[in-house]
This record gives sequence, structure tokens and C-alpha cells, in this order.
Amino acid sequence: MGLNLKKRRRRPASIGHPMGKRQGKVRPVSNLETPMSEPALPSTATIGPDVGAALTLKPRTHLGYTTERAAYQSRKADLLRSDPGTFVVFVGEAMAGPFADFRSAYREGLRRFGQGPLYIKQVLAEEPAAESGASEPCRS
Amino acid sequence: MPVLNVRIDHTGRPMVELYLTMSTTQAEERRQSGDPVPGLVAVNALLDTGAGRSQVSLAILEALGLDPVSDVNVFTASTGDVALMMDVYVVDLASAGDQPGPMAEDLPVIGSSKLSGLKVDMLLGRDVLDRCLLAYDGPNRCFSLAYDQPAVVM
Repeated sequence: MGLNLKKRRRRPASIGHPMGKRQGKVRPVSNLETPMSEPALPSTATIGPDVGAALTLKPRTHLGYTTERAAYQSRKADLLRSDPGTFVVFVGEAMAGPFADFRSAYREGLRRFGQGPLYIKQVLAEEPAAESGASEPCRS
Repeated sequence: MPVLNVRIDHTGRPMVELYLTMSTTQAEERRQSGDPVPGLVAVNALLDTGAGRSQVSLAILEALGLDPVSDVNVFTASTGDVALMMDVYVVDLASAGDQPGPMAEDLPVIGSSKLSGLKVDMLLGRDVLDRCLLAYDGPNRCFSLAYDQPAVVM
């Protein structure tokens, strides 16, 4: 297989993408009343009104996750009871979700909160850690 | 299934040239709001079976104008038992060279400021390699990497 040149030619020249076909629906960004196009999982922890507080489409800058971490921790026990293993998105104290997978959480987070940093967490009792892999400096 | 021939650099490390760009999802959102979408950035990636998740130089992620989407604890050899909290970003990944094409969409990667010491832009970890077939021909000092179509990881 390889690059699909036909698909590539349809992309704007300014993008110059070798990614082939880009998937996903084109959705309106700014209508806050628009129902979610990818329904969240039913949950007692799904948050309604307070999502609107963070729904600004102005660019947000990343100032750290202090608020989001605290908001997640305050709801974590409830989420672990109601929706373990799912994904939630925080911006400030507002939460969206839960969602079945990371990609759904990411897409819906961008759609709801607009451009800017998100705080996506999988609802797990213990935070998984990652190994960093290569750490040996290059000798050259 | 595309197959990449992975070059061995002068220190014996398996390196592959890849393209990174803004995630499909974010690019669509930016187009909808009339914002520019950044182009591709070519990166030198080290195939690293010791890395659970792929890492990308923060300088490259910032050049793409990306914002973090999460954070994760990362254990490194230098920090011992103490984990570092590092931000997570989402990118699209494509192969370069003679077989360009998409490898992963909406791929979460860890942003790292520590890769410059390794003289690489990216560690291609098991989150991507788990979707690939990696063959190492030791006597002939060559790797090959076969991958399937875009994979959503995590």
C-alpha cells in the first residue's frame, strides 16, 4: 500500500498532507446549544449546566492543570463508582463526559470547549505511569 | 501493509524519518473556525521498544502550535523511583521517505524536553510499535517496520 495520491491531491496545497484521507465529520464549533454528536455514556456523573461556564471559544492558554487536577480529584470517587475506565474532559472546573474512549473524549472536548488545552483523564483508581524508554545520551 | 526500511545510524540505533502534524480532529476544528492549519514537520524518530508511549520534542509540538490535552507520570532512568509529570499532546503521524502515508491519527504523545541529548526528535514507543511488525536482521544490521493503516491508540 502506500500514499494515496488521489486523496492527497484533493487537499489544499497549504496543508500539504501525506496523511491520506482525514476522517471525521465536519461539525459546527460554536453552537453551545448543539447536542453532542457523539453521545456520552449515560452516567450520574455527567455534568450539565457547569459545562457552559467554560464554554468560551476564545483561545485559551495553558497555565498548568492546577484547577483541572483539583476538579478531577473532587469528582474522582463518584466517577470511579459510576463510570470506571471511561474518559472525562476538564477545562477549569467544567467537565464533559464520560466517554468510552480517548478519541471520543478528545473530539468532544475540542467541540465543546474550542481550541486550547484540555485535561482528559481515564477514570482509574491509580494513575498509570509511562516508561520513558531511551535515556542514554548520544555519544556522537 | 507498507514496509519501511529503518536505517541504522552511526551509533547503531534504529532511526526512521516520519512526519508529524496537528491531529485530524483539531485541524478540522481549526478549518471550521477559519484558523490556519500548520503543515508537516519532519522528525527523526528512534524506534524504542523500551518506551511505553511515544514522546516528541516539546520544541516540535510548540512549532505545530499544539496545546496539551492531559498529563502523565513518566519514570526515567535519571529520576529513579520518582516520576516526572509530563504533558500529553495529540498528533497525526505519517511515514516519510519512499513510502509516505498515514500511520496514526489522533495519537497521544508525551511532550519531552529531554530528547535533545539523544539527538532525536521523537521516540517511537510501543503504543505505535504494538500495531506494527518490527524485524531486526542483526547480521546485516537492518530493521524493517511494517504497519497497518491509521491506528487509534489508547
